[in-house]
Amino acid sequence: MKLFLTLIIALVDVGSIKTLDRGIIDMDTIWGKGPVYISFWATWCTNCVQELDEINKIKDSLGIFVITVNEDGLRKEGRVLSFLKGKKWDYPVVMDEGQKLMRKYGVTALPTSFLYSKDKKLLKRFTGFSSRDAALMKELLRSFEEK
Amino acid sequence: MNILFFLVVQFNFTLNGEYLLERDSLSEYSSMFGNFQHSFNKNFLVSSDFIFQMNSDFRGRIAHLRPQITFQGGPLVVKFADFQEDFQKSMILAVEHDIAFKRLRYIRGLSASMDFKKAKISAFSGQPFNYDYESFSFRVSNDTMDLLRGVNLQYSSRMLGFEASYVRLNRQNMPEPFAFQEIYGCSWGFDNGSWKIDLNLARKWGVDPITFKRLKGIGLYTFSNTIVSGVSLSLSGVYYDSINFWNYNMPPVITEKELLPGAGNSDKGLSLGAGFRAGGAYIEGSVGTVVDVDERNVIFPDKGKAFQESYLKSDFTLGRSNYFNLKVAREYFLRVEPEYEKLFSYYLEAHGKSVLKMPIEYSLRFSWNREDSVDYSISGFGVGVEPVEGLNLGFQVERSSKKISRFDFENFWSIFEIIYRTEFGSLSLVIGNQRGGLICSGGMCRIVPSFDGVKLGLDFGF
Repeated sequence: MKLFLTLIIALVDVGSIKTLDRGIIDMDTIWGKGPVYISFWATWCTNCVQELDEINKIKDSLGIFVITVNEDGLRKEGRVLSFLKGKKWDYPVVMDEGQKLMRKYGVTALPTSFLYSKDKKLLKRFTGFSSRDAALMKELLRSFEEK
Repeated sequence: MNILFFLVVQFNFTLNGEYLLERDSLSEYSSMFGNFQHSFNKNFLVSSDFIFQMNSDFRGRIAHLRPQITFQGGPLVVKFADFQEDFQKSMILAVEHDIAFKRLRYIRGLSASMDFKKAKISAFSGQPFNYDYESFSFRVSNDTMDLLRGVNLQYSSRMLGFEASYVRLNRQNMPEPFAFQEIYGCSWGFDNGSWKIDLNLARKWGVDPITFKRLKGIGLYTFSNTIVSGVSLSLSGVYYDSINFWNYNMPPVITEKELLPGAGNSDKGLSLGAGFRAGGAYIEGSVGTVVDVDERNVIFPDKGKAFQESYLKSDFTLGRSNYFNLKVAREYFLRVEPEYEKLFSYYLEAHGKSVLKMPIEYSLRFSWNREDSVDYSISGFGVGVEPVEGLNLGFQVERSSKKISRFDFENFWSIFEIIYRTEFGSLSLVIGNQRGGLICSGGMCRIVPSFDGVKLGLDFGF
């Protein structure tokens, strides 16, 4: 298990990323400030939307920086934008062109999310969304800080 | 030269496997596709998709590797072998994967791009190769001698965006001297945070390889979004006339169902949407119509092609761990091949999740349909529980009030499923018969074809 986790760490080194609202996030300035949560989602995936609703409520108390990767495809960029404006989630959204990031992160089903510590250590990969995940995330972050 | 680059090893792997046994015919289908990537420092990445398939009737046996070598040095990225490209929101070029539908698209050749923070220029040349997934099997859908070449320029600042693209297609059976077809276009976007507008234009030129007639097409897609008193308002429109570029592009869509009745060759449509948050609820509504330009009559005559969609949906939360969503929709299909002829549908869908002693997921669905002159309704419910972390048990039932040809004269569907989710993927067992479509259960959503039998699935990635 440790081997797998170590291997994934290397993949977070993506430099800078372009977001849907034409912003550019320099990942080097993000790491070190706090834990990072990367979530793969689509507008048609009800479990993804529930997960991001839940994360939106707790992200400030957990002190995590959230990046979401949308898998609706560029053909539906307009619909994704409308959806996001109404939702008012406070997340940067990356459109995954050709599902390249999905393959790079080894994602095969939605939602899939990755919780990293501030020093890029993968704490947990979440496949699917369970109501227990928020509590588990709090527990993971607390136990990691205590170490 | 960094001779130590082999010391920094990155590796990842995905696998999506499926075994299916059909109840009536006892036919077996097994397939898997996935990807492995191996990178040496930050400059070289070697990866390959793999597609393996073996069916009991020995037809459709596939064992393919689609490798790719990527070099990245500063802003320069060079890809060799099998890669994907997308230009201008898929309007000019859409050679890309859709993993949910298991639709895999490749160009085998060479691609190079220079990616600066605000600008990117890319060019490629290669032969396309496509796989589609139908009836539980991958199928090679394009193995021609077509040659695609293209160039794309993108500029993006905080408020402005611009993209210009050109793609040329050479086919062996085209007459000289016009031995190619081309599609080109540009897009312009403005976004100041409260108002966004996007305009995309494409033109197509070429020669019909059979009749030698001059071909030309035009495509226009526009989208605008603004916020008024906390309500997000969106307006989108399409006008596509002969813009389908031999299925190498996929013009943008404006409806949730993603339907273009004229397949990008003759569509015009408009969609209006609104979304807002009220307390713990998010409410979204949309109306949209796309009609076939050739048929001209927007009142939908019997010989036309059209799709009309309107829906209202809401997500809301009660307490900290009770989620609900409700959707009311009306859809009208008129001869949208291959699934629809003339179909009115009214939907009511409710889906909820609560945490009592264990997480419980439940759903209710009802639709009333009029297909040509036949009226029928479909009702269904589903329930899922998670008795221990990662293990989901689900049961779903659906019943149609009439046996109709669309569903092979079946009118009752029931499935039982067990899903075991781990950190690195999931293992699922599904027994029963199921109508196809988007299925959300066990905390995950995916698009599945209809089936009757036993299905074993494995999703794995690290």
